[in-house]
Amino acid sequence: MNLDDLKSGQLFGPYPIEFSRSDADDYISATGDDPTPHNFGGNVHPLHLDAFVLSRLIADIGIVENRIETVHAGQQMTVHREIAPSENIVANATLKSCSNRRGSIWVIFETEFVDHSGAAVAESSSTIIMMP
Amino acid sequence: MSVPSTLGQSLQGFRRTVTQDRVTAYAHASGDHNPIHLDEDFAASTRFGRRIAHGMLSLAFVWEMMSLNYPSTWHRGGTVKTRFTSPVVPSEEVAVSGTVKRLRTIGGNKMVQCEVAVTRPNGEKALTGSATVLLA
Repeated sequence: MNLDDLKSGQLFGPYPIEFSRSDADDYISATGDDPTPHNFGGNVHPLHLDAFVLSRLIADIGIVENRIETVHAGQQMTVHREIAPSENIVANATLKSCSNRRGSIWVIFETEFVDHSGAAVAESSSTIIMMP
Repeated sequence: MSVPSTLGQSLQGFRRTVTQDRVTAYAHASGDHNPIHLDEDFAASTRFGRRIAHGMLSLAFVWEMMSLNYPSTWHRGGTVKTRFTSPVVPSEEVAVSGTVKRLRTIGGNKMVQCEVAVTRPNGEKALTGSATVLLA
């Protein structure tokens, strides 16, 4: 994808997400010194969901492929319930805003995460600055 | 166990060292292989001049702090709103902290709003923002 193709309202995904126990543990281990005090109770670290979607968005936009310098400027997330390993979650992202400021492209993605029944489990918003 | 619920009360925070190994492990676990975090040559050509840690890694520290301080409610309805204000450079030890800033009742539910931060060794804030959680 060319950065010029990005348009407000553009949809990304759906991104199916299913973390194994091992995937979930790897994420928690990477962020912590000792997984046990995290109090995730054997569940998925909720930020893991959003990190996964960010990686997919980065791939879809071609940030790594085109070696585009980026800055993650801000992040919001709300979680409604715990997510168990092997649970099937689907993420849908929307490019809510895309603007050019002094040669940099500022984008805001909003993402909704739903479970197999369609119930919302989390929402997030990510602000990313790209310097083409 | 009582949770922080008094205005001005500090949350139980912690310090954590962000090594390049941790950044690399985070990249593998999250799938975010942006070269600014991993590729020294590419990072040298950016405004930062060297590799930097993922902002989401700092946010994960905040998330951990909130889950430690509000273990029974953080994972159902917890909200964070943060800005990444300065990059964490591998080998830095950061301080993760929070303070109760506001108490309010919404729809009969008591909520706590905390100011949260991740601070670099030079005193710069790597992350600032707020986290809101149910009290019970």
